Amino acid sequence: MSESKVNRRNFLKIVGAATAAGTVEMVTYKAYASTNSAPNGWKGTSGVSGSSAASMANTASPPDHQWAMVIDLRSCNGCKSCTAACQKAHYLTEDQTWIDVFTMTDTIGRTYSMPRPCMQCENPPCLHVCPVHATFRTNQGVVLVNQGRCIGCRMCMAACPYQARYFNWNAGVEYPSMPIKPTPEMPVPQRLGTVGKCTFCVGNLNDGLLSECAAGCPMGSIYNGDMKTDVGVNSMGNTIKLSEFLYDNDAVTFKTSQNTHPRVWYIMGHGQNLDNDDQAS
Amino acid sequence: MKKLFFNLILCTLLLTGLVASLITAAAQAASVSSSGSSLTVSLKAPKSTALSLSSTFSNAVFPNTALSNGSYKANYFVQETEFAAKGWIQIGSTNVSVPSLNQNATSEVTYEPTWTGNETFKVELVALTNGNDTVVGSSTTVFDVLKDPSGFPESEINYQRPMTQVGKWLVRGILTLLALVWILMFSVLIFVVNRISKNGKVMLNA
Amino acid sequence: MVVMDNKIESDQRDIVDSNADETWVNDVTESAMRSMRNKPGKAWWIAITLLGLVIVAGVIAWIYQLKHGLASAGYNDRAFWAVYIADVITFIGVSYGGAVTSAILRLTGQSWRAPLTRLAEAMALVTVIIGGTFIFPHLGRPDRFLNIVIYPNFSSPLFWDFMAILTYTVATMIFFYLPLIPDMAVVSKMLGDKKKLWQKFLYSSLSFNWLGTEKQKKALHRGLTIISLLIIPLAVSVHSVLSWAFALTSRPGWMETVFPPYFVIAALYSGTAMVVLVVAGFRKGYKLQRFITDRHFVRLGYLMVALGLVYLYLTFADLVTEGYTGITTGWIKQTVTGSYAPAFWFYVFAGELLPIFVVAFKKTRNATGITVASVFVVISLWVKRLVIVLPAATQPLIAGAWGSYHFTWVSITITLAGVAAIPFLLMIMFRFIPLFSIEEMEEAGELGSVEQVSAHTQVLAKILAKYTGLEVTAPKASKSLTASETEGK
Repeated sequence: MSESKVNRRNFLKIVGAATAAGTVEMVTYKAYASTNSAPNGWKGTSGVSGSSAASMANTASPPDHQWAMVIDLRSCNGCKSCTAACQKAHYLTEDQTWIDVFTMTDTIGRTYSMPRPCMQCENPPCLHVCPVHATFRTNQGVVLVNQGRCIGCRMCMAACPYQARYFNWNAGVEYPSMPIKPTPEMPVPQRLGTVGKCTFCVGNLNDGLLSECAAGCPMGSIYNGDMKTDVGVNSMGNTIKLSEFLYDNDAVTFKTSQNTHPRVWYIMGHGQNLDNDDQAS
Repeated sequence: MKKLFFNLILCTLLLTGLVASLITAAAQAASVSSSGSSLTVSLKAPKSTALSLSSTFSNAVFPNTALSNGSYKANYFVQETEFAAKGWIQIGSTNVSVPSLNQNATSEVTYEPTWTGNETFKVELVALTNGNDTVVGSSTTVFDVLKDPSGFPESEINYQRPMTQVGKWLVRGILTLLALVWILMFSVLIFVVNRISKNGKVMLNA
Repeated sequence: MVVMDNKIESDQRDIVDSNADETWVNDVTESAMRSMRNKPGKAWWIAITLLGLVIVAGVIAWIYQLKHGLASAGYNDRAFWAVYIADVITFIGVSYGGAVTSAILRLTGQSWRAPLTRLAEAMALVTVIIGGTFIFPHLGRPDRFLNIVIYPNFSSPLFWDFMAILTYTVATMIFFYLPLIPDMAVVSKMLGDKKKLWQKFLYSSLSFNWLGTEKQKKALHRGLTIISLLIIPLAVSVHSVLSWAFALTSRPGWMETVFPPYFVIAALYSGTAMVVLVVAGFRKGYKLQRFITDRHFVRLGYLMVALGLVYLYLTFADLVTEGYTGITTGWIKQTVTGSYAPAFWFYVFAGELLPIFVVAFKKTRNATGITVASVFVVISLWVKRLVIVLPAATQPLIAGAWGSYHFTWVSITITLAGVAAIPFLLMIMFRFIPLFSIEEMEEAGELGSVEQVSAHTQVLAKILAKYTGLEVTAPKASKSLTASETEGK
């Protein structure tokens, strides 16, 4: 998976940069494909045909990776750079905060910031309630949405205890014309009337790169992790042995009582109680 | 003064063995390259389930006087290239006790490779003193791991909710019930219409 | 109740006794066919035009929404479910009420039901179709609706919603069609040989040689009993599964065991009120006061208030269970004292207390009073559905402010179009079918044998020509009919 140097993400960056400079330079898919060996990850997984998503989940190579994330709340300063990086990469509207930063109150009334991506649950409620199997889970442990199949019933939004799903209520932001169709891993452009959410930037991860939010975090609070290789890395280049890091720092998952088995861990340090189901007052 | 002394030791450090062994057919793991001053690294036939990294420090490594009361520690690392990082992750650590001044010391850690391909390992010999712990020598070795024995719990890859089996039967049961309802509805319709139609015809023709 | 039943029956008997049987049948048939007169009145045209315009506006709004996304209907990520799902629940609930009211009255042999069942069943059919249609504006991608069948996920409550609604709709159609067979035969006979093709199909083909023989009646009644028995659990299942679309999530305010009966009772409650409204409308429009009396309204009013009290009790049980421990009080505060409080208290006062008072006082316990109460019941139960949907949807599950939903012209227009579609479709439907089940009315009037009825039908044909304006020829007297006629004389 790591052979293809120009993947969809990089490609979008190229196109995006060109747009920003005012010279829209189109690269056709044909030209792109002729100079690159067929990259894994997105070819044949276009979100258009119905069965592709399921087949992708089944035919992906045996899981070399089990993606995870660690968010170190001790160093998060709530700058929302992660949100901005994510929205830029996925051409999201301002409201579509696939990784959102919540201001939380701790047990003695102080506030702290808590980024919340999709938890990539092992027992995802959103997956179970989707009437058309548009939400699926890859064998790398990532929950993705096939926007080519989604009927827009928003049952998943009702079921998600983390408010991690965002709908495309309107046409959204302008995006450069794409030679490659959107995929569940890289759902750009977003499709009107379908639901979207954090993809863990699984294309990046498979290419050996950090996710957009982790790379965009100036504090190094977000670690991309791989439970299979037991590695975690943040934007500062700190490499951790995932399991030990989690153990040593008393990592917790969010809303454990929901039995969702999240793959996102939080490192506390503010006396928080993350397991609180209902913060509503 | 102390530092200089340790540098001297570094020169004489002899890592006689960094042995890796893999389960069953995984013995094909081969040392691709090794670096470090005057180190020899070798592979042994596999016996254990995990990769076993062992090193032997010759007695020449150890100082004869200054650190006779101190002890040594061997730290093992693997280099991670995932996420474009170039970090070393510690995979184990052992205390190296020096039995006597004339004997070699050995150290061994077991490690389960988590992926195949070239993996770079590093061993550091650290002298534990009252003040600073000092690295007195290190060596890196690249192994081409051919088999990745580390698995991942299938239950976590394909998580199944409790009562999934029961749920399957429930679905079948409800679908059967649903089919029966449809059959009933249409047979009632057909029965009624048929009766009415037939009887009407008979009466009209009578 | 028993006393009242007897009274009504004796009333009807009085009518029958004081007039000749023939007159009763004539009157029933004439009244039943008032809606089918050739040229509908001016009022009918004005009403149908206005309603049609509202529906057209709704379709335009929907096209606009398709183009600009659901944001144009006021939706946002915190108010992801709102008015359309409340519409779906309301319309299908109303349908359920119509069907079950009719089925229960049929099964328990309440003869006073006779002039109401056709209207109730037609309303049930029309509203379930409208309710089902409201799934389309609710969906973000209605064009992919069939994915539910192509890629079904059996663990999704929405799949079962779809199956339940589909099954229930088919059952409603059969339930509507079966009692229609005798009426189709009557109309067919009246029209004689000069039938247009559609008339031939609608009245002759679909009435399947109905003559009203004992055997035919028996078959029809047996079928109707089975379908009546079937439609009750089907309707219960529809509303239970609809409620599970909410209750099977982990949201405070939705994840509650009380939800299935809560929804079922709400449906029955609003459905009974809707039956009152439809009956009142057609009674007024076609001057059916002779057959549909105050007593019918009072009966329905009692039924409605009884269901309303059960619903009030369930509402209280819901709030007290969720609120007592303080684990999930956020949405309750918001509902009872917060921004949803006006809507909630509107439901309590207009949707619960008002009908109770209307039925309690003799002065208001009449057709007008109960119709007014029903209007409030239907509206306030729609509001109540919004109060069920919105607080739980817009509550912050992690931290931060409450979300909010704002009505837009799109969502209002589409909802109004659904409301307008009920009378619109009913008015058009009753241009082609009689307002009552003539056969049931005859039975309720305790008319005698088949022969008589057939004879009446012949006599009627001539009389009806005056009223209906339909081209009428006397039905061909078959041997048996002639024989029975002579016998009768």
